[in-house]
Amino acid sequence: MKPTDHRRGAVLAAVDATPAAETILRVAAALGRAFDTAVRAVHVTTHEAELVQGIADRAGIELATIRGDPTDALTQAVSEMDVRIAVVGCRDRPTGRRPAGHVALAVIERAAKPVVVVPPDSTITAILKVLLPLDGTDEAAAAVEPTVRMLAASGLEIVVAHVFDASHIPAFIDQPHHALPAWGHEFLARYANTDLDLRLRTGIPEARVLDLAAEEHADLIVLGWSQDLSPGHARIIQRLLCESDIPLLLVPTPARS
Amino acid sequence: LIETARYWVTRLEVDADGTAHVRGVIGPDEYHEDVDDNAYTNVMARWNLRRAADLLDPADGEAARWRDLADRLVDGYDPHTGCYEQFAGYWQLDALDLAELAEPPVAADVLLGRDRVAATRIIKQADVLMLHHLVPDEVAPGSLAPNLDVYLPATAHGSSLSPAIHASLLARAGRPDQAASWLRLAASLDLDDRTDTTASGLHLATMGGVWQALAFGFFGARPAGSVLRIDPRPLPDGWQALELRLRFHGRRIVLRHHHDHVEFDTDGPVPIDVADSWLRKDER
Repeated sequence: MKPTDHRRGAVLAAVDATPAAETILRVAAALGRAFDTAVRAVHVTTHEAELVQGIADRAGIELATIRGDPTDALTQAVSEMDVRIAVVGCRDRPTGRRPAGHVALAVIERAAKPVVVVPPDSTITAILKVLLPLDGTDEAAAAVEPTVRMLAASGLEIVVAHVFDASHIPAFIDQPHHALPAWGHEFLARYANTDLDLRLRTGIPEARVLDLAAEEHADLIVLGWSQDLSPGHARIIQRLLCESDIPLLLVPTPARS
Repeated sequence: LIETARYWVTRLEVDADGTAHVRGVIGPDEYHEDVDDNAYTNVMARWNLRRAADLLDPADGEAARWRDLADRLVDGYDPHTGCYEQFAGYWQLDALDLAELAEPPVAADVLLGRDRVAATRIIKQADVLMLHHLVPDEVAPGSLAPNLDVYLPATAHGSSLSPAIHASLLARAGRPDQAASWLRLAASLDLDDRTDTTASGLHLATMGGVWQALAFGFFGARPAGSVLRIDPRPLPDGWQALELRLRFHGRRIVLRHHHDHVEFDTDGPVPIDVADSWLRKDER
C-alpha cells in the first residue's frame, strides 16, 4: 500500500450527530482513496460532540472540533489552504426527500471549492466511475475542467452525459449513424476530452441524468454550477439534491472560485 | 436510363384495378421509412421509364411496356387541392404542430424519437417538393404553391440540404423574403457552424444547394437542350441586384438581375430563352 500524498490537499468531511454522519464519512474515505489523499472530519461543537467523536473514531478518521456559527465556521474550514474537496450531507434523515439542511445549503453556495453532497441513503463504498453531465456551455465546461483532470489523473472512469431537450437540440442531423457520433466527438473536443465516453439522451435533463447515473452505475455525479439556489436557478442541481442516491460533486464556476 | 428503367419494371406492382405501385421505399424524407407509393419515388420512376422509352425505337415492345407502366403509376396527386400525398397514408398521420415543439431547423427525430416522429406528418426535408425542384415539368402545373403551403410548415429541416432547396422553391413561388431567410441560413451553415460539426468537415452539398437556389430559384434558370431558359423571379427588397456566373455548353455566362430587368454577358453566342414576362412587347 503506497503512502498517502498529503501535498494533494485533504478531503474534509463536515459531520454532526445525525445518522447521516457515518455515510458522509464512508463516502469521504472513498474519495480519499480515489484521490490518494488524506481525509479529515470537522464538527462544529454541539452538546453531541462526544457522539460525533465516536462516529469518527469508528470510521478511523481524524476529527477536529471547531466553534462558532455553523455556516461561517464550516465555510472557513473549507477555505483552508490544505482542503481540496469538502463533503457535506444532503439531507438530515435517511428517509428524507428534501434538499440539504440550511447549513449544508449555505456551505455549498458559499464554498469556493468543490463540495461533495452525500445523500443519507448512499451506499457508495468506492469511487470508481463518475458521471459528468455537460450542458454544452463554456462556463460549465470551464468550471469542471480542473476537477475532470484530477479525476482522470486518479484513474477514475469518466462518462460524459449530454441531454437534448426542445431548447437545446441539434438543428441538423443528416444521417444519425454518422452525424450523431460526429456531433458527439465535436462536443467532447469542445467541452471535455475526446478520450472520454459520451452518452447522449433526450428529455428532461435532470430526469435523464438520474436515469443515466443508474444505468451507468456511477459512484459520483460531477456538475459545474454558479452557486445560486434561488428560485429559477440551478434547476437540475435542485432536483438532484432531492432525488439522487448518488453523491454529487458540485464545482463552482471559475468566477466564484 | 435503360437499365434503371428495367429495374423499375421489376419493382412495380400492378394491382387488379390496373394501377401500378412502388411499395416499401424511403423517400427523401427519412423520418418515414418503408412507405408505399412515395410520390417522389413514383414520379421519378415514371420520368425514368418515359425518358428511357424515348431512347428506344418506338416500335420496340419494351418501350411500349415502359410507357404503359408509367401511365399506370399512381402519384398521389389530388387535383381538387393541388397537393400530392407524400405517400399512401400520409394524410392519416398525426398532424402534430411542429412549431409548438421547436423552431426549425431542428433534428425532430432526435427530439421526439424515431418512432414518434414517424407517426406524425413532420418531415425531415423536401420530399414532394423535391419533385418541384428537380423535375418541375413532371408535376401538375400550379402545384408548387399549394404543396409549399402544406409541406413547408411540416418540415423540420433536420437535413442540412433542406434550407437551400426551400430557398429555391420559395424564390420560384414568388416569396423572395421567405426565400432569402432560408438562403441566409444555408449560406451560413458552415460559416456560423450551425451544425456544431463544421470542424469535422464542410457541407459541400449545402453549398451546391445555395448555388441552385440562386440559379434555379431567383434566376429560374433551366437547361432545355442547347437553350438556357431564364425565368427570373422577384428579389428580396433588401437586395440591390443579383449576379451569377455559370457555364452552359462551354460558354461563360454572367447573369445579372436588377429587379426590373436582367442582363447577360457571354464569351460567345449562346441561345438564351427569357420568360415572356421579362420581355418588352417588341422583343416577344
